[in-house]
Amino acid sequence: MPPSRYSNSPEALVVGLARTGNRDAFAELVRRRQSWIRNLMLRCCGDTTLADDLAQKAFLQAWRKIAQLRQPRTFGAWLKRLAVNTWLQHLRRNDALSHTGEQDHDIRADTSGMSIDLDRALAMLPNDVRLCIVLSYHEGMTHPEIAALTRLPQGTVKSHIRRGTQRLQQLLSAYGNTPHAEERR
Amino acid sequence: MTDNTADPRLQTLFAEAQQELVDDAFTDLVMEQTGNFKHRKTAVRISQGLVLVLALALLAIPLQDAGMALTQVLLMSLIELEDGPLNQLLAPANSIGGLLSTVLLGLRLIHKRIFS
Repeated sequence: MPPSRYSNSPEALVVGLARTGNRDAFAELVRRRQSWIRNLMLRCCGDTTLADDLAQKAFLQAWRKIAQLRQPRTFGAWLKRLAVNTWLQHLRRNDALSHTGEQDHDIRADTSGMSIDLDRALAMLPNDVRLCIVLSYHEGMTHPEIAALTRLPQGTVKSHIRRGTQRLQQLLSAYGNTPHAEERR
Repeated sequence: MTDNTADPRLQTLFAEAQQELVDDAFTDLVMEQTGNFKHRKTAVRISQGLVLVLALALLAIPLQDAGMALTQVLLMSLIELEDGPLNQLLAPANSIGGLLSTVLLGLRLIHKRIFS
């Protein structure tokens, strides 16, 4: 695909054009935001193929609904909400919310050992705990923001993050390359 | 992150695990799907239009008959009056349609009084 004519345009302008059905503008938004959304989905599911599939679904939802987006400046937050909803829908469809994430996860296309260990450790957390952890550590969201996005009570979010953090610290220590392990060296 | 439960070392680990995932193949795939969606949407709209036209063609005569029958029922007088100016004056109220309109207006007023 050749470089987009909008590659140097401000995002709000590109979003405004995409809202009118301009496909080139939307392609530029996909180019700009794909790494962020694919990483977010990868941290959620731990599987590169599934992560890309979910990211595509999120972008497709964005294309379908972008005309409803009132404020182009909120595109990032809006896209993140769509991505998280796509992940939650995937969990619901697979009836996975009731299970802990102890399945084998495919982490083949990864390049960094640290990422592999992190994704493996994340895969061992229950799905709702993992989502809260990812939104907190990966996205830097606050507890009230996570509660609003996931529609979980704020107290639940807080306890998920506390438990998830403790579990991750244990798991990553077990892999031997966490900051805890480094401290011991 | 502003919450005090955050572990700064885990934050660093998450930041370092970020990969640069940008490729044109992904963009192409998404845009191909948006194109498919657009075609599907057009096809659905055309199908809906065809079904509507077909339904109207098939139901036009029965609907017209039903409409005429309903009009006749609504225009039926409640009290038989002799033809004359009084009958013409009271015709809108002295009919099933008039009665129904009065009942509906009354119900609406009661609804407003109770719920507003």
